[in-house]
Amino acid sequence: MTKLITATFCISLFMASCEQKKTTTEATPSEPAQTTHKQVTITNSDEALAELKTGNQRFLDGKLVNTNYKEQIEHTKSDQHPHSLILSCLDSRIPPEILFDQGIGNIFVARNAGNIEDLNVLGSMEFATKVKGTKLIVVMGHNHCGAVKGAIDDAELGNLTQLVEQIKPAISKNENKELIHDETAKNSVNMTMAHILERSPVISELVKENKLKIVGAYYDLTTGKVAFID
Amino acid sequence: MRTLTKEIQAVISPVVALGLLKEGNKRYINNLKVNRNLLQQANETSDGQHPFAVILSCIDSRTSAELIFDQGLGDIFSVRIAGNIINEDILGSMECGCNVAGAKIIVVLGHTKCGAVKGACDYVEMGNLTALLSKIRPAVDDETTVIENRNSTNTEFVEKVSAINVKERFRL
Repeated sequence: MTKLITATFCISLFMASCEQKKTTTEATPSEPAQTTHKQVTITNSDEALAELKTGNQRFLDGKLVNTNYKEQIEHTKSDQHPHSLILSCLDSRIPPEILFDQGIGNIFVARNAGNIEDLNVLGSMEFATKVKGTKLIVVMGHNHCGAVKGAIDDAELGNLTQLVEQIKPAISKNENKELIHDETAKNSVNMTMAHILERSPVISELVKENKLKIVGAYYDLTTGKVAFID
Repeated sequence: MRTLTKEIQAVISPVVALGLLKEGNKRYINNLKVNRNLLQQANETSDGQHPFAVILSCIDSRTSAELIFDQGLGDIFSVRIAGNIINEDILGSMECGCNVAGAKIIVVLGHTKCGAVKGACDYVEMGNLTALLSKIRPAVDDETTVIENRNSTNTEFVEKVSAINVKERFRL
């Protein structure tokens, strides 16, 4: 009984301050900037990268503009033309649509533990770029990454064992233990970028033709800031 | 909405987890959102995460799990791959979400107008996409009710294959 009461109490806490707000195209006096649908025309990789940078800045400023999802659903219901694809970790603290303030219809997102590439991630990227014309691939690592930690600690668990094995070649040799995690995560981003070019002739061809760029990025989940390695 | 803690995660059952997602999607389709201070949530989760769900969905720009279930930072793990297929790395990711981080429910989320499913219906072959689409192909073969126009121009066929494609994930 006590357990049940505790459970009910905790769930009510979770649902507390659950006030809903309606997002409309009309600016409301309290939050005008957050309710404006943002229309951006992006024709090349540099413009795509610039939009992601300014989008992350909007997130940092608490001034999201791509929040009218109903309108975005309406605009994209027959087709999608996303400007970028983000490969990031499945970590619950790093949803790219929110961190880059992109909402619905603007970015393809591939996610797995440790933002690694495999044949199916490459297939996903080829669909986004070759078939749908996406201009930019971002490989985004982050600090406090459980998969990177698993690789450093030699973790073994079911299918995770082979996953962390793929990160191991990126493990930093730094003797300063405090730096090993960040360096490994960043090495892993670079390694993934190199693998994409090596293992996908479709993508490397698009890069050669200047139709596509691949950039690395690193998210600091303590500040919300994305640092691009471009 | 409070940021999830280990204590709250511990008392969310799989049934409650499903309820939270259903409620969130109801808000989404009504263009409603729970009030959240996202930067505060980033701060509150910087030392650890205790999400209640793992969602496997497509890379499609219109299938962001956080947005369509109206969830904030730290609430759900999101695994994304074209056609919401399964491979060892996806399974490893799910195991990370459930065994290591304590999520209570796995949702496989297909969607209408999926480009990967359409590609599988049309037997498209291109680079690494070929191997990916071959994972959806069994769903194309298992759809036996549509006799004519078994290709991507037939919306009814595509949606039926998508639904089978989700169900097939559970036995892989």
